[in-house]
Amino acid sequence: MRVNVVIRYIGMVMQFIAAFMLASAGVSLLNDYDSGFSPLLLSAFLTALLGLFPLLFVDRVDEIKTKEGYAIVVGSWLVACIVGMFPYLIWGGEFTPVNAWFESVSGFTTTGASILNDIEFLPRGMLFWRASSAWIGGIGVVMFALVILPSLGRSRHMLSNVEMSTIAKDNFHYRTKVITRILIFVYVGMTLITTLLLKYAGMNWFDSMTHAMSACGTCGFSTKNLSIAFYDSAAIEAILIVAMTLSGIHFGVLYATITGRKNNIFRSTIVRTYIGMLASVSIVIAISLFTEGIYENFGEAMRHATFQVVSITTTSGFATADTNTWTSLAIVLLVFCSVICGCAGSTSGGMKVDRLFIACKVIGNRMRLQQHHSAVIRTKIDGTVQEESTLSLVMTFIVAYIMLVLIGTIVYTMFGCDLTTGFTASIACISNVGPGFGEVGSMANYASLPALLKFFSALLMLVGRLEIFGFIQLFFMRSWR
Amino acid sequence: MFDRVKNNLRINSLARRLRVAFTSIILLLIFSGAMSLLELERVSHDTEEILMASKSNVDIAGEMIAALNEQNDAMIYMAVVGDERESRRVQCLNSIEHLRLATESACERMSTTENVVAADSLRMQAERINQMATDYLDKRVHLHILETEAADSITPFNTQIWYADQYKVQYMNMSRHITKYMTGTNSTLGPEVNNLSHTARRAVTPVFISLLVMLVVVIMFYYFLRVYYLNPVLRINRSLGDYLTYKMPFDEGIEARDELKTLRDHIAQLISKLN
Repeated sequence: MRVNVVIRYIGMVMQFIAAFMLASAGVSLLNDYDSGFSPLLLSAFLTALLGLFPLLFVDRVDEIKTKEGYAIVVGSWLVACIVGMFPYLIWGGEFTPVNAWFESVSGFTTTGASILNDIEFLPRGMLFWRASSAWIGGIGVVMFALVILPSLGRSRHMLSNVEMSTIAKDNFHYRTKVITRILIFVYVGMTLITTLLLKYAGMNWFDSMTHAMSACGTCGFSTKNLSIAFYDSAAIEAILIVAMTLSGIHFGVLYATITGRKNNIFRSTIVRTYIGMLASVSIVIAISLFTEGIYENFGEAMRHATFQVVSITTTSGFATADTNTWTSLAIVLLVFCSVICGCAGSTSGGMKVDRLFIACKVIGNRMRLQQHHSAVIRTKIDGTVQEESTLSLVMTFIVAYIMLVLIGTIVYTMFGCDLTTGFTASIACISNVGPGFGEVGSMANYASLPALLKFFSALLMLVGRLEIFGFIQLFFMRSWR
Repeated sequence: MFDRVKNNLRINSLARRLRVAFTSIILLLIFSGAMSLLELERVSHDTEEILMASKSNVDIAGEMIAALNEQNDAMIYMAVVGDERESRRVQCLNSIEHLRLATESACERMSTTENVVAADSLRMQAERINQMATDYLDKRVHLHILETEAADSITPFNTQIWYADQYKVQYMNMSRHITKYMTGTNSTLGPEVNNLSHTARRAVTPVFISLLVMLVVVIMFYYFLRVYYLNPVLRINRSLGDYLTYKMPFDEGIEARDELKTLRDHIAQLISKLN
């Protein structure tokens, strides 16, 4: 493996991150030169410098190997999370090194979990950086690099092979160059539209922009301690519900819908399943909340239930209510949503609806095979036959996911967390949801966890964001040379 | 024109690469140093402000205590000892005015720190004790007039009991209020002290992080220099040495670029001319 080539491409990603830090410093400057200005400016400079050296010395290459591709993607995420700590560390406040690491990883992996007890104390520049990290993370550090830095040439295809899950790639019927354009078109477009709508609904420009970035990145970072509950506005919640729901759908399908192509959201079985799941779970939870008397009228129960279900399923993690006080049925269903999450090819994390759908089909096929031993049964999605390798990968992923959740729960309980907190925090971190239940509920945060556990949680977030195998494979490659 | 500018900007020579690298490192050092200095300047400014605020609080409290004690002295002389000289009366009147003024400035400071309730309480207590002293002075004047007209027909005003039962209680209350003012105003400096510690941290952390980044940059710098310059130079040297000891031919396949590539090509050219 050519280490210098790997470093060069990681350097490119760092330049991109530095640009966002600089933009955040600009926000600080516009807000009466708040205390975030110099930490952000220095961080931008440090990050740019770190990224500059490889670009200065290593020439671009036309071909990169698979191992190099993996190393670039995983390395980019890790380095992004590390340099993302700089503004927090330099600014100080509640940000100890572990807290800064947690917040940075939480942002880039779009988990949205926080260690901050008083978010509103942060200067605007820092809040913008938080939202930026979520926005960059939403689309994937490397995917951004692919579009912004055209010098990658043929290696662009290699990198996208590593960055995007196999299922997501199957749904894209375009060339890699087009895929990256689609991602940017849909992502930037959605963010801009959401910003305008939130402004129209009553938020100020800053809040609407940061919340739009966070919603489209399915991160859930808010600028308020009470999250979306602060605004208590049905219009804002409705806009965010739509933005989050769309962000949980495959971007290629969204693009196809906008451009009037055949494989649009109305024809996609996966999207139908996803929307159906959101609707049915919301209704069941609303009925449960209403009958238990948690909300006085059904409308209110439906409003909060829909927001929380969409927020959790899309792995955003915004909150309008304290879900810890909800019924057991509601909690179990929300945990289910935390596991399944959105569609492949979207900014959401978790197991993905696609995998659940395929797993159900595989189970169905297996049962049919029990009856007809010699039958040749193929698994199809939207008329496309799924390869055996894809099916095997899906089932392996599900097993790995469950094992990781169990390991996570054991570690959390080892550190003294109760079972609810341990189990749900483990899922919330691996699926990049953010809020769990118990001590890490929708209105609480991860501040009270011990430092080691915060570090472990951040690691789980990274593993989840890199679709488990992307991260693990890094440690199991026989030879890096 | 555009191509010329582009070519000028392109970093494709050893000298240019090194120049950019060193300039960046120097800029980083200057920038992080400047930032630390800026934050240190802020620390110094904040410290000065906190100390000034604290000193000012102590001064005002001192003025209040001095005025209160002055008033108390005058009251003891007049009410307990029975010293009815005009100078005592003037002393008492002065102390009333001093206490009023000192309390006003204390209340003004407290209202700026949003401690309005405590300010009102202090003001009321000062007014109460001042009113008591004023009443006493008025009553003494009144009694004096009465005594000269019909000294035996009135019940004498027992000033000692009045001092012990009424004035002293208010005096103690006022002392407590002044102490409260001192501790209260100093505790309102708490957030500023916290800010100060944050600023102090911001002055140290940039240097620490810059050093870490510098370490990484230096390692990278060394790695790239070794891979792209040192190793090719060593290989050219070895190959040239081999050639001189008749281990022909000169290895032209050495991976080199920019000035090193030119050097390798020139050596190869020279050898071909010699041959």
